[in-house]
Amino acid sequence: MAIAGVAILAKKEEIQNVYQRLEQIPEITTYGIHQEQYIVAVVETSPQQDLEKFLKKIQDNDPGILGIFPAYANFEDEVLGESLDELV
Amino acid sequence: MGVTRREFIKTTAAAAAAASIGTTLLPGGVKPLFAENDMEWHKSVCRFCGVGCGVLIGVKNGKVAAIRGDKFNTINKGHLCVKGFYLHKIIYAKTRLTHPMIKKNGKFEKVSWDEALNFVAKKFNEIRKAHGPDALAFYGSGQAETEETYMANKLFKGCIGTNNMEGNPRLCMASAVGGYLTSFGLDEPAGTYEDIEQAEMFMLIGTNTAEAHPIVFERIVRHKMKNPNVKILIIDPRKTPTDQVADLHLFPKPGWDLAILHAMARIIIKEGYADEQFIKDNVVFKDNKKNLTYEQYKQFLEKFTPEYASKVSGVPVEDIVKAARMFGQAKTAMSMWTMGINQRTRGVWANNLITNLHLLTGKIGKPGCDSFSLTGQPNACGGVREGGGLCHLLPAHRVVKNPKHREEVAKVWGVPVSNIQPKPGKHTVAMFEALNKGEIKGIYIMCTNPAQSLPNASKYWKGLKEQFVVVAESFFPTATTKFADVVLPAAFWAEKEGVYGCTERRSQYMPKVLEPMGEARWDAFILRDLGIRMGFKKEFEKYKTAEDIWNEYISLTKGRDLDLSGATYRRLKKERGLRWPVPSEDHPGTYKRYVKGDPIFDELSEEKKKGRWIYFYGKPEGKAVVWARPDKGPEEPTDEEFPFALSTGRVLEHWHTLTMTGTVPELNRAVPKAYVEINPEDAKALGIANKDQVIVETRRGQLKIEARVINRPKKGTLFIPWHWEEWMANILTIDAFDPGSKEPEYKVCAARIRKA
Ligand code: SF4
Repeated sequence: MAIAGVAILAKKEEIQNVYQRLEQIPEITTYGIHQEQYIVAVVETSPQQDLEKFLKKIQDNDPGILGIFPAYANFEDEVLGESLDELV
Repeated sequence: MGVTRREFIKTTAAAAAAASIGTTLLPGGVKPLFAENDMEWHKSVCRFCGVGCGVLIGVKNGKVAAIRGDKFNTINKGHLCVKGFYLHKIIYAKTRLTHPMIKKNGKFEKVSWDEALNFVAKKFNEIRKAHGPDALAFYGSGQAETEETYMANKLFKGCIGTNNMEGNPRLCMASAVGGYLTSFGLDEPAGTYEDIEQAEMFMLIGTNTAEAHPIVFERIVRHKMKNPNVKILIIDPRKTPTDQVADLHLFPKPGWDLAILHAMARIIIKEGYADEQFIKDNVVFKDNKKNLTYEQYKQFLEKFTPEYASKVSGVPVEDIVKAARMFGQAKTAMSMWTMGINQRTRGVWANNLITNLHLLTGKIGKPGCDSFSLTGQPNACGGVREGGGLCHLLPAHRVVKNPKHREEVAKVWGVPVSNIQPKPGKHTVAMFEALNKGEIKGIYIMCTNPAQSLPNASKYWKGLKEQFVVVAESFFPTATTKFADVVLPAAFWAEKEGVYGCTERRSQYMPKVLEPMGEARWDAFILRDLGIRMGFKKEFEKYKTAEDIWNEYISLTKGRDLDLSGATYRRLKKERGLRWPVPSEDHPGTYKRYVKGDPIFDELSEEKKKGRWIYFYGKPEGKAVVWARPDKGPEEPTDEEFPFALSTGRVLEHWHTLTMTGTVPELNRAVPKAYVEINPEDAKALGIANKDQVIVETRRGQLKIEARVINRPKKGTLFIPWHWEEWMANILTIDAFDPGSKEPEYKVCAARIRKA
């Protein structure tokens, strides 16, 4: 499973609609629109889902999105086999 | 109240994404949970393409557990594309090669390093003794580090004494090298990525930037969105995701774009967009045989009316005129291109004709202006072009045929100058042909997969089968290891330190953060140890660290156009790379060549410069060349028998022959197999439906593959992504090559298609 921080580049005129559509997707947490063209979001995929395929599907299904650019990806539960739901 | 590790990582991820676009998330949005005490972060460089993005490698409990775009890296400012995102998974791929093997009775057997290296040394020495040094060869990679290519160069050219040393950049960048050398006298671009945000117009020709160089594309898009007047012209036979931002797209028949570039030059001059003073001061004109006057060049262009170019290329007249005006009217313009221009039998000419437009309009040397070749591989520029890893080159842009260059290099290498032959060795296609013929009897292949990546690939399997083949690789099996007699496990990215030099003349340091997997070793030290076993102890035993090798290499760059003597490990470890020339440790590196701020320009005497603001010091009198090249089409034009033009290329998710991205299930599942793109009109005429199995055939072979009916290729053209061994596109491609650059014409050949 992966947790990724992404900057989503969207068409300026479409960005509000893109934001609303993203908010409906359970795997995505949005963190606002920035500089009129970016949406900051965190994507969490379950072990059964492929992050890459998931992001590609989102982009392909939304003509308002110009690109999704990961800035951070964490796979430590996969690599190290650790649970992520314990308190730190 | 505590937080879970998941919440903690989510916060970190959101903050990193925000930082990558230069913003912070306000309290209430995200709590500042930033200290990742248990993760060690190391500054490095992406392993994949020539964009050269900075990455931070997160190591936890001795394993790479996270990757982050490096927001302090000026190239990507924190962003990565999906390939960069999966780097860590490749390290732990099941296909990692972890021990040396020798093929015995047709089967690979695990052996010790001693046995493997002694065996290779003995075989190479026997071949050398019996057949001479030219019976041996080396074939390397634009993905190897500069230090690795440097060691191979020394072993083969300086010690064994053969110039049969090539690398796969011959297959992707050689025409760009030829273009820069013939137009400016020196290789590599004048400008850098910094020009992107200052350009008013982009000409993207023969490049699918969105998929092949995603972070460059993002910078262009971001710039255009901030500045809606920025114009983007695309010249490419295929519609690609890059089109999302195009203002105008010209779709030439594959291989027929030279006439368009000449027609654009003609319109630019006729309509007054040329910078006549710039031309007078800084440009000379030539055709393939002689110098021309400006008037003679104009005469030459007369043939290239928009109507003529339209007839040749299939592009409407009005679009050619619009394109020329777009280029002419913009105050600043940047051209970018990749394999659609380079992988052609007239790739050098195509490069020249792009640069012509910049020289005619004076759109070079100024902020926002450049003819800027995008590099495919992460260290094709650094290791192979600059490091001299081709059969005619020596380190630091030197050439074997120059006696002074041979002397300078032999002195640093500590070898007799007579060891370095003055005649260039065999270029890539010739090298594999010589292997087929048995003229080359032993080859060392490092970090590349020629059995799949050579054009007309199956033709060259004979030589690989019959001769003694050593493959040093991180992954097993590959199409090439099947033919190997010995395979040597090489350390992968993050398991070794070294330097990569990217598209914009920037050299960047990569640290070793992990121990190599299994018994894998660093390629440079494998070559060092092989050299010692072949009898070159004195020449190789002195290299104890990567820094020893780098220091020796940069000493050879001192005083050269690519002076890297100020780019020491000490500095590179701290900084996000340095762009050469960087002649001293207190020099900041160079944004633009040939103008003020370039230390070589700054040191030229006023007498020489005569008040000029730009001086192309690689050429006599500092004048660049506008070339009047003929408008030749592809080597194998379409005909009645083979009516389609076939092109090959990349998809975003994959890299080259899948040795790396094929090991990542996510990437594999995203694009699991090859396909042939066919235009809906052509498909209808041939009764082919989407997902039908079809046979694509050329004069060299045939391939059964799934059809993708899509409005991407122009009518009459086909496109196949070339990554898969199972659907090997290169059994179809043509191995005809550019006579100047020796780069093969992967991008165009004649084909036919039918339902299977
Ligand atoms: S654009 Fe190239 S260098 Fe940057 S992350 Fe993607 S593959 Fe790596």
